[in-house]
Order: sequence, then structure tokens, then C-alpha cells
Amino acid sequence: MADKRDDEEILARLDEDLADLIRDLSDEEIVEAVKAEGEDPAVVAAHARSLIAQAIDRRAAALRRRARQDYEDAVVALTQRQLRLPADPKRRRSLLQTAASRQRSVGLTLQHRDLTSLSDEDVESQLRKLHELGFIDDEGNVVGDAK
Amino acid sequence: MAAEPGLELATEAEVRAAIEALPPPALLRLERYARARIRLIGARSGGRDHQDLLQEAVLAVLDGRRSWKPTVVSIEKLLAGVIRSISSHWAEGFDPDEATAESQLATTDDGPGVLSTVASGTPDVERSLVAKGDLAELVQAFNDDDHVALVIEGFREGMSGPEIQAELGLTEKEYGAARKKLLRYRNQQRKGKRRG
Repeated sequence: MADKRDDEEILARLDEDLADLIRDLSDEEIVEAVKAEGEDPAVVAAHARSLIAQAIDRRAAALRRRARQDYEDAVVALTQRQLRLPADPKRRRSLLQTAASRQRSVGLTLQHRDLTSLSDEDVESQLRKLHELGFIDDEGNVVGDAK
Repeated sequence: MAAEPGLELATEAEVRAAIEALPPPALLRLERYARARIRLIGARSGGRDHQDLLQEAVLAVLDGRRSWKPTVVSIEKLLAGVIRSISSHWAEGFDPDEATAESQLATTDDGPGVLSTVASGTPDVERSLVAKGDLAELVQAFNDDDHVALVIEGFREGMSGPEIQAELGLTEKEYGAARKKLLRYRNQQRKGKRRG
């Protein structure tokens, strides 16, 4: 005769097999099984749907948190990149002119723009964009020479 | 590398839509299966219940930890498989030394799990006695049902389900019917104990 421990293991294996059977019950059989346990299948199904909806909401909230964090990280990364520009507006305009003439790709970007018509603010804005794009380094020097 | 035609992974939006469209019987199967798996691992669930298990399975499929190929498996079968693997993972990762006194005593709505593990690793005498009594009741209840009696005997001999079917010469239909009778009886047994 099997001892106590054996009986426990036998029943555990049997229960595991029977648990797996639940996955294969037909629609009618699972409804009947729930009823036989004294529960209302409609209530059980509605509760399960509610649990699933909560999980879906949690996932959506996690995605929103991640997107917000990515945005904040990007903003921080941009603001942390310091650009030293000449204080004199004329030197800034000259820097932009140099960048336009020495960097072929920059020149292509600016070739149709009349730099003299740009305001000081526009010049600074253009220089900052070139910095973000990597054409001007943090010290305000034109990067490379694409001749 | 592009997936083989017909074997493409579903997008998260497709996964979500499929899960939201699960019909009530599928929800019942998944809910009952999660409940059964938690009952099986007992205290090794670390205090988590079948609701946690169902939600964790949904999250794992949604966030891509478990991918879904719609042409290979239904979303319901995939979720059931994930429920199984997550519960097994919880049971394997259970550290008795870290378990609290509460988790050692934790039970589900359906009573103590037969595979419950206590922190010391010593056999739980009460649990063993319950199992012994339940098994004796099962044998007695199906004494006159040859197929069910054979299935029980097969498990006592340490055979797996497919081995029982093959070794004892049961057709798939006979084996399936016997298992369903056992499942109903076990549910009734637990229900009776809850009431008792």
C-alpha cells in the first residue's frame, strides 16, 4: 500500500493532468462545470473580462509612462548640450557663413538663403540647429570639411 | 530577417483586440485554469492568486515577452500556455527561507493546495492525510467504473496520461470521458470540503 507521501504525489500528478483538461473542455462543458461548482458562469466570465481589462489598462499606462520618460530624457539631453557661440552677432553671422561655405551639406541647406537678410535671432537659431545636427561642435567650431 | 509568410507575429494592437474579443466560454476556461494552477502550486505562488496569474499572462503576451503567431495558435491556447509556464516559474522560484509565516499558511478559495510547500520542507502531516483520504474516496467512488479505475491505477503506477491511455488500451474518447468524470468528482470533493 502506498504511504502518505506517495498518495500526495499521486493526487498532485492527477490534479495537474485534470487541470490541463480544463483547457480542452468544450464551451458547454466549461459552462456546466462552473454551474456545478455553484457559480454563475456569466458572473465568472464578466469578472475575468474585468481582470483582463485591468491588465490592458496597466499596459497602456506603462506605455504612456515610458513615452513621457523618453520625451523628458530627450529634452534633458538637448538642454544639457551646451553650445558656446560668439557673443558678437557679426561673428555669429560669420560663423554661419563659414559653416555654409565649408560644409557642402550645410551649404546645400542654406544655398538659397540670403544670409544677410536673416535677423540675429534667426542666425542664432540656425547655428543651434546646426549644433544639434552635429555640424558645429560645443565650442562653436564648424565640424570637419566636406570638400 | 522577415518571418515566413503566414508565421508573422501579431502586433500589440492585434493581440489586444484578440484578447478583448475572447468569448465568455474562453474566459471561463482561462479563469478556471488559472485557479487550478494556483491550487496546484499552493504556497509556492508566493501569495499570488489566480487573478494575478491571469493578469500576468495577459501582460506577458501584450508586452511581447510571449509572442503570438495567430496562424499557429489561438490567443486562448497561447494564454493558457503562458498561465502554465508562469505558474511553474513561480513554483520553481519559490524560496522557502524567504517565505513568511502567512504565505506558509496561505490557502486559495478552494482549500490548501496539494503541492503546498512549507518553509521547513518537512511534510505537512495534515496535507498528507487529506490527500490520502481524497485518493481513497476517489478509488471507492469509481470502483465500478472500469475506465476511471484504470486511469487512477495508471497514476498510482506513475504513468503519464498518454502512457495510461496506451498501456491500458483506452481509446481517446474513453480516456477523455474518464478524465472528465474525475475532474467533476475532484471539483465536488473540494466544494464539499469548502462547505464542510
